Amino acid sequence: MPAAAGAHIYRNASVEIDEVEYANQLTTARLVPDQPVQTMRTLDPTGTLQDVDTATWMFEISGLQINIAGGLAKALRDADGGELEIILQPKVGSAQATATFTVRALMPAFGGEQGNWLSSELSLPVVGQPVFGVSA
Amino acid sequence: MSLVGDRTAIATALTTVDEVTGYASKPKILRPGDAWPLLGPLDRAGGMSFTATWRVFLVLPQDEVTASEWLDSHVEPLVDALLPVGFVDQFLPVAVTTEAGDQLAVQITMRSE
Repeated sequence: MPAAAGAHIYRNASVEIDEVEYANQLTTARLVPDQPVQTMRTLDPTGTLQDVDTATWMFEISGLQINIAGGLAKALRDADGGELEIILQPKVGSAQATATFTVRALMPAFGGEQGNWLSSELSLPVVGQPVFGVSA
Repeated sequence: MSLVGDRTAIATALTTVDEVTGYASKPKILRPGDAWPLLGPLDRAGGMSFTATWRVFLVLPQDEVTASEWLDSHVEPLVDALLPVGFVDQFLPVAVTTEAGDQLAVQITMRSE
């Protein structure tokens, strides 16, 4: 059996938010679709109908909670409710897959648990649809 | 997944770091800055893929204070250089045993696909 080409341990990613690179603050950066499917099974067993909705998306991020200038947590707090432009590239380099999209900024956590890294975790709603492409 | 060429790729990545010379396998004479990979376990991952765990050994300057300061300033460049070829999990100061005695070194543990 041939090895699977393109398998990749997620690292060396690029996460640009409003043209600032935040990959070094994040441990998770993932676009997650929600795409409900409605199925009607008619009296004819072969007559199953399916209606697939258009996907809506969430941008899941988690990582360091940095509350000073340059920190993503501070940037999100400052932009609360505003729109942010994101370019997510899971593997840096040319001819690599990219997703470009807009999210609504939400308030991140502030503070944490003693003895542990200050962290935060958010699911940001995507405005419209991501545009999937390839890096130059 | 293919390990073919990975040792050379790791050596090339290591050589991009100032004061580091990467080798695909352990050189016969060890000098400060010499580094080479050793393959650890291959763990089955999804589909027909395996996670390769590598231990990269890097010989430090042999004066203890110089070795400490050298490592302090080289951790980030080493992680950056290795990023295209592996995800670094750990830096562990170790002693490499040679005929001339133990040499100060650091073991970098990283994973690749």
